[in-house]
Amino acid sequence: MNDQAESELERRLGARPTPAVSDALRARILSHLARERRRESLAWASTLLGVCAAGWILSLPVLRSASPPPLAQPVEAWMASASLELDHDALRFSQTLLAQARVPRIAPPLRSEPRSSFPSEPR
Amino acid sequence: MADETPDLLRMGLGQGRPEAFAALFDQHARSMLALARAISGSPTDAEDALQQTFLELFRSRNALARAADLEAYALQAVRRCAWRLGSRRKECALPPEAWEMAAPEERPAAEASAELERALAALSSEQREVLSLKFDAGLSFARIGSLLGIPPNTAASRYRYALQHLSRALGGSR
Repeated sequence: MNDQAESELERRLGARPTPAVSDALRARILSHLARERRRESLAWASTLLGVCAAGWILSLPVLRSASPPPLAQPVEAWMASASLELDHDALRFSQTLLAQARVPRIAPPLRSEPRSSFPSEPR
Repeated sequence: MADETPDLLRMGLGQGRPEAFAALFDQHARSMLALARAISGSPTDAEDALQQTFLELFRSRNALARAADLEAYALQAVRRCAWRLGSRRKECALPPEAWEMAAPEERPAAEASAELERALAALSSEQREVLSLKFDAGLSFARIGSLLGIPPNTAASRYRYALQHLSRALGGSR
């Protein structure tokens, strides 16, 4: 291949138009990047939310041990912690009433029942 | 944003700003598309490669912002992507027959152009790649060599072989 043929071929190759990038392709690619950017932001937000939720769940046992619910404690201890005083007079009175009525000591019902279901008069 | 200084452009790219990527696209998409087309031989595959490349550049934008030569980095990225896509789709579509669509008075020139395109399509992808980097991106053999990871002399001889093949395919008369 001589120099003249080579330079002629180079001229033809140089004159060959570069494929154009259409506006549609530009718009398609840039909108694809914008979607990717939004997807990344969303992924970050959900990761942050997940970390917060995991932290809250993990901290629950710590909170529970720091202040157990009142019903899990003895009533006296709970009353003491809640700065309540036991009315000893009222307690003695009710104990006397119970003794007079000879009501057998039974376990309290799981759910509070209406007062009318208690016997109104001693047997 | 196209006339932004390279530092501002890099900062914008590192932050994933849309206008920075639009500027990068406007500066280099043309030569990137030409390279992808030279490797894949198909306009559709080249467009897919370009889109995939910009997505990968966006995802690895920190490395992109630190690249010493943005053009070489972008061309290298599209090259990798086009080769990857090309290995998945082996068939190489020939460019459309330009002369068939041309007006009668333009046919000789269009036919010559189509003949050149056919001769180019018959080259190996490696040879088309070097020609595209030389003519579409306007790179020197030293830059082509560093981009392809080969010595500049190898790039030059690959270019020369491509010209010889083209000359033979065109009958050596043109």
